[in-house]
Amino acid sequence: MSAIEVTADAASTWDWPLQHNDGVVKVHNTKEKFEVGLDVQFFTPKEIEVKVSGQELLIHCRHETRSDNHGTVAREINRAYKLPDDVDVSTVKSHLATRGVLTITASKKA
Amino acid sequence: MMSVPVMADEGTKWDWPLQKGDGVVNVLDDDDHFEVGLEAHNFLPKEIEVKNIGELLEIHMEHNVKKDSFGDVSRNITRCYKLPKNVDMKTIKSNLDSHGILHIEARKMH
Repeated sequence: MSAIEVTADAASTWDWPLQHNDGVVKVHNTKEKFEVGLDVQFFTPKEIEVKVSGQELLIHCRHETRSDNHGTVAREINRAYKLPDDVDVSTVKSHLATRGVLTITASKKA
Repeated sequence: MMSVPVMADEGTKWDWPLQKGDGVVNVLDDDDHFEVGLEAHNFLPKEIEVKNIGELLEIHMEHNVKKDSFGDVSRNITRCYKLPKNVDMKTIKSNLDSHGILHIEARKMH
């Protein structure tokens, strides 16, 4: 087995994953509604688990090793977000669109 | 803790990640040269490990929990590829460009 060094442009500032919002496509937070859109483009609905624990939103995406034309790939992504205090957690819903965006919505407390 | 079902359009065929190449951006395989480009846009160079084991190429990308403006995210991706038989293993190089594409290339033996 041999390790292959990953080279990179020395001049690059390697904070760019965060500059791209790190997979968060949109966030709307109004008086009536909270909505977040997440990029989950490599996962099918059954490979995504969404849970609410207190005011925390937990998203677990995982797919087992699968084959494509070139080889195999397995992925696991975990996200945790603190919901705004005025979110009614009993109204949290999630929907996966075919373009690979997971939209999570909730109403605000009256 | 409460589970939130992930809703999705029922008529949809959820094989679309594979239709999009599943994160493989480009593959070149000619008489002199082999190259594959992989999406790695959420990872820093030090979070990527490339190894070759015999004629297999293994790519492991992982970052532990990191914070963005919205919450925490962690990712773990493992890829494995069978290299073409006539690849000169000693010439394998990998480079992460500033667009987040990991380029792995090698010369062929004649």
